[in-house]
Amino acid sequence: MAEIKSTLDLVMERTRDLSLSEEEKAAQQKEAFEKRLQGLLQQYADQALNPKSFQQERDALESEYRIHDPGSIVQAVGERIDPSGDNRRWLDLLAALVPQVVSDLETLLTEHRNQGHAIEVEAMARSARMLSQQHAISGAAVLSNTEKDQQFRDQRDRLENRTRTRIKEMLHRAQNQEASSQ
Amino acid sequence: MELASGLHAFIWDTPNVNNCNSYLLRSAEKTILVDPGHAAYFDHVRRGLERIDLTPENIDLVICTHAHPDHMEAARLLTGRASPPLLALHAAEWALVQSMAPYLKATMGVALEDFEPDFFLDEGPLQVGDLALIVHHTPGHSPGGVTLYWPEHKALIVGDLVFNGGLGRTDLPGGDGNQLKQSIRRMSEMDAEWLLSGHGQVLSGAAAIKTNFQQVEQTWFNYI
Repeated sequence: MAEIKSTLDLVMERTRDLSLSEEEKAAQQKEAFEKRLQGLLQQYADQALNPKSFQQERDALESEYRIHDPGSIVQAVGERIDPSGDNRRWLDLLAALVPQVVSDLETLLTEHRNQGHAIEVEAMARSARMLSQQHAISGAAVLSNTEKDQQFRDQRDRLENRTRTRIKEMLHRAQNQEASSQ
Repeated sequence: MELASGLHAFIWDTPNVNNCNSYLLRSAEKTILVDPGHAAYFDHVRRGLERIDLTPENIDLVICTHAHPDHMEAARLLTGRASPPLLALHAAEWALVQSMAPYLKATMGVALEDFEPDFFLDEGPLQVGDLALIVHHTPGHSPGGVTLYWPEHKALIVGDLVFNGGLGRTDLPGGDGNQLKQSIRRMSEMDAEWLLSGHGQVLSGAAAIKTNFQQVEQTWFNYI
């Protein structure tokens, strides 16, 4: 008669010969570290942390996981930037992490806003023209719904992607400079 | 029912089923349908149109005084056509619809893209071909509620702002009692011969309308 085994016995038996390689362990550590880092960034976004306490928590996290990768932290902050949104908090954090990049970033975000505004104004004019010429609809009560304009949406998406790429490049460059100066 | 030349009312008078009154504004050049109502009861509007030798295909523009389903849901029956009429409502109302999108999808199977307005309405004059209207933003029942004024007939199309003997409820999302009172007071100052509400009976005559506004204020304002 076969031996009756508990679930735990079965699991132990099946995983007995399983072990992780060093690379797998490192990848697992990195993944866990990045998840915790995102948690810290969310706490910062929710104003539960300020730039100073964020850095303290980050240092503790780096010690716990024995990972020191300032580049990935800066990029993770960069990914939180919404080019069309209010980024004051993220710029404050970047000012603590890579201060030399903040002024250029602010210029880039201002450019983005100006270009975005110009695209929107152009789309509104296009919509008003279309409503007037094709439907004889006009007047101060008419406000364009630019979301109906495919050309506007495409232009806005292209601008957004371009700005995000430039933010990434800017932070990457700043991080490299920081690393080479140490 | 033709109230005045080019001004038609499709009054919903089935008391045990909720649906709104719809109004048709017609000129030599353009036809505007205000508040198409619930999709399930759109035949009510269709029959009204047939009585004046029109079909939904003849509608150039659909305006929704607000985005509650009993006023707006049937708009999707019209926007899906090959040559659909344009759809307009206030931007604040559209923002409310967007915020409720998951519920609308889950409870009514309604997709947002079926209702995307072609343009938004703001306070001010609205010219549609040879039809001249004035749009008033009248929040309270809903944040982006609008009242349409047609000066040619001194007609005030108020949606669910105020009724013959009553006023709009304020307990639905985005409702606001103070805004409702303020909006009603503003509209009570209009030079109106027709008070065309989203529910209930049409009210005609400037004196009757003034009295209605006064009675609504006296009877209900202390409770909201």
